[in-house]
Amino acid sequence: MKRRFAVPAMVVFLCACLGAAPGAAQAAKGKGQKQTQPKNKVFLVCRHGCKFHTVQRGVDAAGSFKHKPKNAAVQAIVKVKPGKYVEGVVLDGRLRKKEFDGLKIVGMKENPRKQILEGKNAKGELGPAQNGIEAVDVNGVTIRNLWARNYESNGFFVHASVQAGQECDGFKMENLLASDNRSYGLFAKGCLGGKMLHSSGWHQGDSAFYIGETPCDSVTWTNHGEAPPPCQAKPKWTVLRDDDSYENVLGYSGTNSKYVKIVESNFFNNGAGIVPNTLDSEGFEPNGWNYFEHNNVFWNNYNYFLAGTSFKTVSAGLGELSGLTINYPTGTGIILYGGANNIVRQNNVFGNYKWGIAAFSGPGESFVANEGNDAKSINNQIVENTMGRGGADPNGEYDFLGDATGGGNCWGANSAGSTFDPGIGAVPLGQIYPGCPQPPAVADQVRSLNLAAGIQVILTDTGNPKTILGYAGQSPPQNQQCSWVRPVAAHPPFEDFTPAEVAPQPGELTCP
Amino acid sequence: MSVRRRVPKLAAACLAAACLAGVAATPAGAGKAAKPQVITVADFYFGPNAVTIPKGGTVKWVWASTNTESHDVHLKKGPKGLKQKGTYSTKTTAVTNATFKHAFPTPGTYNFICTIHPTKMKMTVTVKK
Repeated sequence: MKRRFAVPAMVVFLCACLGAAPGAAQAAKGKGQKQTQPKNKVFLVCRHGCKFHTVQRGVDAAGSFKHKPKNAAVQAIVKVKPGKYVEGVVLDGRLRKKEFDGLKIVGMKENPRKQILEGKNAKGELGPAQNGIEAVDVNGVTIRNLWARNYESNGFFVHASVQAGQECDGFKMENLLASDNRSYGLFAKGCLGGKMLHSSGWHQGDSAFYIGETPCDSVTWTNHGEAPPPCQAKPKWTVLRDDDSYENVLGYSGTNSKYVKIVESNFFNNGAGIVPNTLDSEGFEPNGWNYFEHNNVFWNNYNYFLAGTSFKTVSAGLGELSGLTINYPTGTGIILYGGANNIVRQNNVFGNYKWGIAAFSGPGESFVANEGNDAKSINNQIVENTMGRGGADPNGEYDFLGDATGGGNCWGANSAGSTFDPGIGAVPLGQIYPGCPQPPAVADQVRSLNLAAGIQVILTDTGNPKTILGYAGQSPPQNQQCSWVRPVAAHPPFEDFTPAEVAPQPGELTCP
Repeated sequence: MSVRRRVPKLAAACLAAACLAGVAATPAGAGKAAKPQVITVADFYFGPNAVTIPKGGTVKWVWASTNTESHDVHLKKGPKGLKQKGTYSTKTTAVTNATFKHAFPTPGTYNFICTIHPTKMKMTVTVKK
């Protein structure tokens, strides 16, 4: 917009200076406006008194309008008046007679609580409505000022329908709320670049924010080989900024996501805060090449396995190890699970009862933790983080856990007095947590298993909660809490946040 | 077993029963469709991943209650000349509490995937002539 007005203004100014006739200047301005003036077509949605009574109808009308070639340059905007809309909205970019690319769906009031997409009693194609808004194969969709809640699947879901991706590029989710959805709040999968900004999510059965399966330039890309090429030669970044995530199983989850920047956001009162991960369930393993900077990651001690939880996990576990079901480790701020080349820098991490920042591998070479042994912790940099608020609100057991697997990882210039998990003490700390920088490791040249340090797993004591896999495999899972460490009686106040924990009922914890 | 063969047998049995009972004969069971073949849509598989049904048979996909991830049903390849191909795919994804039913009047082989997990979730429906 700024550029469009600036150019005609400059033309007027120059013409006036050169003594040109005002008419000519006006003509130039008019011509410029004709070429660049944006045209909007608004599709107004409201419960009563508008042409469209549901968001879906407004979206469908906008899609039909944009399908006509003569309207190609017109910006279609679905404006949603305040109200509660009991429906699941679908933008199917594969439909031949609709065009949804670039569509904006905007709540008219800045306060997203005024425009509610309600999943309770909402019907969809397959039964109950699954998502507040689902956009399939739609590029450049913008969703703003809405609240999606109580859906069978997700709040806002943008994804590609083919693994090659490139069909949901540049999405923008802004000023959204997502709550009490079964799986995810704000969810993008298979997209090349996008934004999730100024949004909040709570009470999701998985994570409030999720970026999954970032596509690579080649569908056959892997991180194996002597010199694997980058996933994307010219990365298209996905940015999460100024988001709040609280009281979810995970604050952020990103399975096999890449080129994600999470900055200036708050992750608190979740089971675990920021959790990029590598899993077989999605393509383009591993996760990596992400930035996590300037975030507050604190009080992630919500034991959702207890009966008193406000939400339930949808996960039945991540896998099995010697008969133990592995779950995500609660009480942890940031988890890099099987990640490569992540940078965790200048975050404020405190008050998590187990670990502040943990980086570890899935031992795919010996267990069925990861087919193909893709979940190796390599080349991650954990630097310049402030841990435990200078001792006022420490992370419980240790600030840092590294399991001595993989290679090329480094820990540098984190706050003074930070604590490092030593395992059984058999491997020097400096070897487990080398300083930065480190020479980069090649995935195929390092191992995903380390039994020497006693941090990953102890084969004669697989349930030992001092090890990451033993802790994640606690049975029953709510017993993870048994090994939490609470260094202070109560968290000191932090901004206007309030700690949220689940009180165990008598007999619920069976700590040894 | 095809529906065509089954229906006359059922009708005959019903007529015989009705005659023996001395009741006016109406072949109530004659139009009853065969039960659909049920496929579970789970994290991260279709179960079973291959079924054979008679021409005109129906398949019903049922999303598992234990799912944590979104899945859809997408026809990747069907028989040549298949009409209304788009109706064989869901338009949306679902995690759980969802069903999708479709009849198969055209014989041939149908390859389905979940577009969210295309490498892991594949299945085939074979419709006999």
